Amino acid sequence: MVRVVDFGRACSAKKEWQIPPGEGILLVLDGMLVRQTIVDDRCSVQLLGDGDPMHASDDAFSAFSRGRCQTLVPGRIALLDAGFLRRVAPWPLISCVLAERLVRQGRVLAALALTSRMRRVDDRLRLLFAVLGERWGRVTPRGIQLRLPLSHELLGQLVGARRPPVTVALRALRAQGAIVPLGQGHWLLPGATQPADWLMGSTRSSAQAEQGLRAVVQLAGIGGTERECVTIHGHPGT
Amino acid sequence: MLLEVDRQLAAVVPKAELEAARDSAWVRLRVLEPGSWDAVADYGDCSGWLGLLVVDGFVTREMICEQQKTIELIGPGDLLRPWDHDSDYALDIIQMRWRVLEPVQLALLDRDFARRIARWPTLIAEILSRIGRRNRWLAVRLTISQLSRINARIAYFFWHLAERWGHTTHDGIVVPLRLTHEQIAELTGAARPSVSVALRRLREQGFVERMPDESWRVPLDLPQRLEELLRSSDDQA
Repeated sequence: MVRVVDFGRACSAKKEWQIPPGEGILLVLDGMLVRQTIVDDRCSVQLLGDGDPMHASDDAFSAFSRGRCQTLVPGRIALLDAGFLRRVAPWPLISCVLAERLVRQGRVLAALALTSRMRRVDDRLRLLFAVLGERWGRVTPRGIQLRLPLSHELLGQLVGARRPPVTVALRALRAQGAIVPLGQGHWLLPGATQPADWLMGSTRSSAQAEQGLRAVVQLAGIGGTERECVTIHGHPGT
Repeated sequence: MLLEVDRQLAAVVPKAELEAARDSAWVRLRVLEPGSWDAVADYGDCSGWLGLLVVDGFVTREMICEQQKTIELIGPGDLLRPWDHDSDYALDIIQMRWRVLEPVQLALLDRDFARRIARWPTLIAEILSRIGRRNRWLAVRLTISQLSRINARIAYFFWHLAERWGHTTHDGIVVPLRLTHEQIAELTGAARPSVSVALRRLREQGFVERMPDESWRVPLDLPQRLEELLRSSDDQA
């Protein structure tokens, strides 16, 4: 039994999330949040979706960096407070699962860190789409759909690039047929049912860059044991 | 025992229960000497454990792929779980390397420990928060490495270390880490020669100082000085 709070477009329920530091943890049930980390004029972001734990005290994190949480897709969050943790105490594996999920977030962050060192923004975006496809993609007969409102600016923040080069790289990827825009910031990764297959199939780079992409695929756990891609059969265009 | 060496953990337990929590929260300790460490060989199959808590010392986790390398710096208060993913990687593509920089003391938070402290959910929450915090620090470092001005990048990096592990003294904040220029370059995503030039300039301007034991010290007014640095025009990417 847990308390569940809706979060809307403006994160208006955020005050209701507050659990004193060290007294619990939040769990995103559905929808999606963007957690920004801002230093000076630069910003990096993490996407938090269903099953992701997070801490309510994130905002007051550091004196020189600011944290900010915004809604990307409205949804719900569960407050796993001290009472909850006490009730599930007889099953310590529940805490271990939460720990595993937190480690998974770190794993994606590490992959993005390696990605941001890639010279070409289109390579960074390919990798990012594969990471997102692995976690939130829906497999349809046309390919893998990403039904997330991903603006060019947000994509840039995810791969450590400014918006204009992202727009140019997206245009190039569209021209190559590697991605298909579906409107509302949604994208289709055509002709594949596995993000890793799409990634390798869409790569037009040198052998060295391809090797780099393969490495990040493994680092991010794409195509590994943590596959979470949802398969939808027989619903083209959904 | 654990609550005696990690005061932040003790702080989340109600005072009336602190003695009982201390008695229950005993842990096995492991000491690692400086040098390379095969974390997966030692702790590759520990599912059901809460983690390995760094009580003291520093260790790096390097991910190497072709010529690209990223490093995560892990120190006191951080929780490790090498069994969660390090063994997944095909070693022909990615090499994972753990290196102990300063002698490390690890507390092994195993299944029995998790069972013993289950009565204190705030302890569990605090231990979980250590992983979340490590992720946040990684995000901060990722953001710092995107700053285009190299001097600002290095200065922010030292502030980041000072906030995380610094000891405040009358003369400044001591960062108890003997990081080389090359390691600073890897941690900030910069080229080593640029880091050496930036460090020389930052030293001249009093932003950072190398101590006789090769640790680092930053001034207490670093935040204010950073404002000056950000306004200065001689800092190039």
